[in-house]
Amino acid sequence: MVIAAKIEKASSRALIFALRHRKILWLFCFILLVFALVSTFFFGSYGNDIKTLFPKNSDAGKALASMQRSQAANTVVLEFDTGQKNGAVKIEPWLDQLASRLEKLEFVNSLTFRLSNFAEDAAPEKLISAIPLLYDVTILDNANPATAVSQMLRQAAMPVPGVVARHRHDPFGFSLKIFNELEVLKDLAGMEFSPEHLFIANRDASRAAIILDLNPLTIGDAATVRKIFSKLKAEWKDLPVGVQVNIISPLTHTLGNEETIKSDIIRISLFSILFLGILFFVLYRGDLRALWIPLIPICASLFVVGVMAVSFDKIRRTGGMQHLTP
Amino acid sequence: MRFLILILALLCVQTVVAGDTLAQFSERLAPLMECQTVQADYVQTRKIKSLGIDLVINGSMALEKNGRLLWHSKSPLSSIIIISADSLRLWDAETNQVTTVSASRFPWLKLIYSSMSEWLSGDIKKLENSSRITIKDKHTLELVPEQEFFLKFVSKVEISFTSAYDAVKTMILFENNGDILHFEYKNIILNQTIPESRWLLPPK
Repeated sequence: MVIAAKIEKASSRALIFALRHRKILWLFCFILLVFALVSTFFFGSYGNDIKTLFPKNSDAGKALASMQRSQAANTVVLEFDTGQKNGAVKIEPWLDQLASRLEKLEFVNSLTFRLSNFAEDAAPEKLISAIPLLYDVTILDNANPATAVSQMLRQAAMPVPGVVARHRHDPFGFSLKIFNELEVLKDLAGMEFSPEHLFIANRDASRAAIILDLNPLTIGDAATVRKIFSKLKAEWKDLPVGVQVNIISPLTHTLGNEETIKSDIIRISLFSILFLGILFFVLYRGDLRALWIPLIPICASLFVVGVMAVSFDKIRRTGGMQHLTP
Repeated sequence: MRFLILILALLCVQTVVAGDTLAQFSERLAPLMECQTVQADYVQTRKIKSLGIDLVINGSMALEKNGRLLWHSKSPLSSIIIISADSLRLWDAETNQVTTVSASRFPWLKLIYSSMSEWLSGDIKKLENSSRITIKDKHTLELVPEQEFFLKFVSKVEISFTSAYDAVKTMILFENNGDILHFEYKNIILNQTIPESRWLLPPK
């Protein structure tokens, strides 16, 4: 009770002081606002990592963190669509030059465009060397003489030469397993590259692709993505006429997400201004004191951001939410 | 004297064969080139030199001109292989599983398909694009493949045609490792529509 009385007494005194010295109070508020503004603009470090939108232990947050760990964002496929059969072959020298330029960019870890002699490397017996990379030891469960004989008969039934050589490399028919899985992969990916050209192209060579493996990136970091895309686009300023470039990458979703959120904010802001205007003229009948209604939360937000900019390393604002990194 | 007559007779035969040009042979193959479909039973004998065994496989085949090739092994095991320009589909009776190998992923498949089609078509102009051809006898051509892929496995191919030159009678592939792959075609049916059900895998 004594403490409550003391607090009430002190606050009453402060209120009386404030009422008596209004100019000092306004000056104090103004100085504080200036400090907040300076702090907001000069000390604040802002980011927009979408990961921080989600609570730490949420499923969505975990999923995004998992995607970030998988480095899925590191791959960018540049598709060059010429719109005509064998068009990619015609722009092959230009693509070579572009590939060599892209490879030199600081954020590019590796680049894939040219293929080795595919016809030779894709021979079935070559697949067998990939078995230990793709399957565990359980694949050997059926590796017995009966399987080998059965496989030999199966291969011998084919009307093709080289059966003995193939059987020596793959006596248990493991490569058939890879064939099936490669077909599934093709169906899942919805893409098919033609090995008839010694670069990555689709079957009728109307489109070519360059695959970039970027240095580790964070999914959701739209600012970095924008910089990367801008630098990439600058490299194909001399794009041949009629060629269209499509960027296929999870990174495009990062920009898409940001644009969606921004457009949402703009839409909500416009509606707020509209309805506040209606309120101002209809309900408050043009009373200027009604302007305090939006002004108070704006100034309060500004103070808060200014203080936080001094206290925290990074402030992340996405939509109406703030996230702090101490 | 008998020996002399035999030598003279042999020389005469050789002169006839030597005088036969590829153009003339090609003209004789006109009936085969007009064929749109071929269906036949076959006996496929694979002589495996390193194992010293002959693997004999019986089956039936069907070929569409510029289309699909069906290879149905019936004994000692049952399997169907359908090769087209795009893919190889393999059905195995034991597992009832269909395996598809895409030609776009494995270009050797396209080579096999085009070679098998060409060898069975009797189109000498096409064959000349991929092989060096010599006439072995009145009904037989000898082909030495020039494609790098086939040169790895095959040293030469012998194709014998029927007396009417309307179908391939036998085909022998001599492999570089000494193996021999011999095909003998019987009960040949020409230009009959191949039922669509034959191309379905697994078979109905």
